[in-house]
Amino acid sequence: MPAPRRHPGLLKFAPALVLIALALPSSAFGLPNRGWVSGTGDDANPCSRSKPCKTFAGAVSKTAAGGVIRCLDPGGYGTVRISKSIAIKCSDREGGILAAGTAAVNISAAATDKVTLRGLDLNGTAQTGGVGVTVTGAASVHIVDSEISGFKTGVWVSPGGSPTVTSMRVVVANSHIHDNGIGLYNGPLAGYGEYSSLTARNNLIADNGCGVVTSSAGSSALPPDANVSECGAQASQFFNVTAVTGIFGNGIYDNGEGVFVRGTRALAQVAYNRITGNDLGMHRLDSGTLQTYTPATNVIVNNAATDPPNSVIAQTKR
Amino acid sequence: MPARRRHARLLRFAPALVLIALALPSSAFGLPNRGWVSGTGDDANSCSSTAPCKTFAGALTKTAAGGVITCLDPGGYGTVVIRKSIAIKCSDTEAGIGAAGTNAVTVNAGVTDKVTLKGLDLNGTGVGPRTGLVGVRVLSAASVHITDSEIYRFKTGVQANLSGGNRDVSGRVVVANSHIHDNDIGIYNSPGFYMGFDGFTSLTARNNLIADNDCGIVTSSTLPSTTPPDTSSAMCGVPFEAGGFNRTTVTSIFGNGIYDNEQGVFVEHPDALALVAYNRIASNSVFGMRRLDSATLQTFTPATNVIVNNAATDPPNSVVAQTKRQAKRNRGR
Repeated sequence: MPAPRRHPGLLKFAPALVLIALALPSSAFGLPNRGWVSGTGDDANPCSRSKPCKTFAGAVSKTAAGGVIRCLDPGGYGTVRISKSIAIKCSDREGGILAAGTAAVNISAAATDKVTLRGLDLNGTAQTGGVGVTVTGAASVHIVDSEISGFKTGVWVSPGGSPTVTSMRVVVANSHIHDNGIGLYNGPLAGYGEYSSLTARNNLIADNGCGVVTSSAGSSALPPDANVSECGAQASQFFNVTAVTGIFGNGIYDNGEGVFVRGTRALAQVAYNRITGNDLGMHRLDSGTLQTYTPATNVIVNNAATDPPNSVIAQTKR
Repeated sequence: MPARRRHARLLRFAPALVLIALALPSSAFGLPNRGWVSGTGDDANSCSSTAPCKTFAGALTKTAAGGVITCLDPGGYGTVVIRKSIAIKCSDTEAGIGAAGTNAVTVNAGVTDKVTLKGLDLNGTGVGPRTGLVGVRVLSAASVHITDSEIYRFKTGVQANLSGGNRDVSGRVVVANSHIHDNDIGIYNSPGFYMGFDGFTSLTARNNLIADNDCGIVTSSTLPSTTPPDTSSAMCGVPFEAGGFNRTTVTSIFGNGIYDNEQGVFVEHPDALALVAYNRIASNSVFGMRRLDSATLQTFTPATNVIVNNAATDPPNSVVAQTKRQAKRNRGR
């Protein structure tokens, strides 16, 4: 009678199974998919809508991977480290993070993780050191409808951190990136990254030391610092990793350098932007590729100087 | 005196008419044109702004056809099936609908009904293989406008699947200013099973961010291979054989950012037409644009799209000059 015997056999293990279940940390399962923060919340709360938490960090720890954290009201929600799939969404309640000398959001997740940041107000106060959003690991990160200002670097895309992620795709859209040393920086952290992709769409990128920087040889300081080398990019190339930045439909105004690209495997694709009022509209060093298209899509005027593109691709057949 | 006699006869029926009126459900008339929902509401309420409801489904039953439902605050407002003209508007409050294993919004309205969805956050939930079915599934309506919304983690984000239930029906769907990401298929436009020979299906995608989907925006003139379409059963959810079912299916793809998908624009089967203008189609890992089985992939000159840094891309098989059109129009003046 094999079938009836199997069940009593399992039952023998039941006490052990219960013990195993009890030994598992409660956070391993049962976390809700939604977390809430409020300016009047408390991190001792469960982060429910009626009992919201006080900080993003508190809410991330109490929200399941793949979950969504929302702001009930405007507030200062503190710096946060993200190491799993999560979305933080605070459109029009301006989820604020004040981050003097540190990273407001530090994303160091696995190669399959996806992160969405929406409606954040990241303020580095005085370009003294911090980064708005550091991305060293993730499959994809989307930053939309946000304001990022007062940082050494606004958004720093640098695959190759820990845990090692070799290929990463970051999108920054509909955001206001201003008054940073460097607005957006796309450059691998070290030689073991393989591909670093950043797409900037429909942003206002104004009043930064450098607007959008692409480097295939990393940066000369961590985080990239426009005071250490030109737009923070490294000249000597111990490594050279493909870094592609799609710069589409942005307003790039009143920066020191609008678009900067450096290194033989660095490619900046520049289409449908208005690039005006910068000291250097576009700048290219060390065989970086500055690519535009025909018929012309950008308007590049009223800059003190600008480099011509070294790659112009005809789109007529398309 | 025939006129007077007619009145007298009507009066005789008056008591019966009153009874009929009383027997009709109160929802048939007198519903307000505005409904409100709140995360702290209750569906037992009247859905007024001072006594809001808890769910979209609850508010829908208490709001008149042609009315507007608005969110008072952020919240999870539940899945909903729409069968009449209605607008749900929650811009800047991020009205969430979590839809694990189901459809978030289904529009199955009359052929003259119009639906607006604005400022919704539709989430198929989870990590890994997507289990949410469809973000917005349009089966029947005169027009559906989806704007300022985020739609993610579904097998299909927006599905225009106009069938109308045995009616020759046409429908027009517009998706604008929305963020459509991390779906098997971002937007899928195809006819439904009951689409008659005179019907056609039109979907216009304008100024959206369509990124990180397996397939960004798909147009097929035949039936989907599965319900809902997904990328595990067929390439971009489109069956390889049209099977004799072909209806005019037009997708206008204007001014979108189509990035980091496996396949950005996908069009298949003979009566499928994708009009592609003013998009940036970049960094898609398999195809920027792909055309199969006599479908039409149309672009315009002078060139308007920027299509770069994709692993591969199919050329358009129809390129329409816009310069001559302008000239002709000017001549006509």
